[in-house]
Amino acid sequence: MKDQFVTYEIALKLKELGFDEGCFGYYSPGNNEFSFFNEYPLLETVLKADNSIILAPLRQQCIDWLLKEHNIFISIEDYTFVDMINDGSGYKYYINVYGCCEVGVSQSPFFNTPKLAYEHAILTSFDLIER
Amino acid sequence: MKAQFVTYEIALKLKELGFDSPCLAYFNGDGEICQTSWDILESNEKLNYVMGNKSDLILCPIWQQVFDFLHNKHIYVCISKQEYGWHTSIKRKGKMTKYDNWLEPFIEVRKQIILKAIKLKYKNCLIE
Repeated sequence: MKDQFVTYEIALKLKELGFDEGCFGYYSPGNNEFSFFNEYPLLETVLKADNSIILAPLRQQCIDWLLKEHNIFISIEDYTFVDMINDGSGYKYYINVYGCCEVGVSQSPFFNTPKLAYEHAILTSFDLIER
Repeated sequence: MKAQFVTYEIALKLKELGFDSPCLAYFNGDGEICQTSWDILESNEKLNYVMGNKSDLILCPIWQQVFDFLHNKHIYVCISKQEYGWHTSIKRKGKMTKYDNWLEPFIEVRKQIILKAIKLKYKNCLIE
């Protein structure tokens, strides 16, 4: 279940960018350790985050947040069947900002899983926000 | 936070297709969404096992878990954003079916394409 949450590196960056939504988990500062909240965020209207911890959203929460707050949408394309054409195989991402392709699949490396592609794309999106 | 989870309709279909991964939530016998307790999550046990395999409970995955589940069944669902709307596609055994120019909100597009993919999996189950 824990692999459904963003990595510590992404969570830390999200905090810097102002992410402050209800989450099911968090990272303890300093030791990167993931924990589930003991409370029940589903039953609470808003789960107020202690500022000393680092909220750990689900990967899909992060993707939704990028769309909602920055109009950035990440797509992961399956290139597992086309290794002869593309000089490799796997999953590639592209990043769409305001309806225009900002980072195309030609700029994305191949990844073994969609999850790895998403994580790389999310970090690339953060660079676009800070640009 | 409830928006992070699939609908009852989808959860029910997934159960029929054999979905049984650990989940953050489940639907009780009254169809209400309930959160899995954190100690069960920490132990990474499957909910059905922990709850004594009660037949009236339905696991309630988050959306990305459904994409992963379908992917493991060799159905790859992709949603992309274009200038004039959402484009979606379902790829199975190298064959891609596209559904273009959806103008609905993203959450509705996600729900609709998942339902299409589940329907495709149902068909496959009947054939297989």
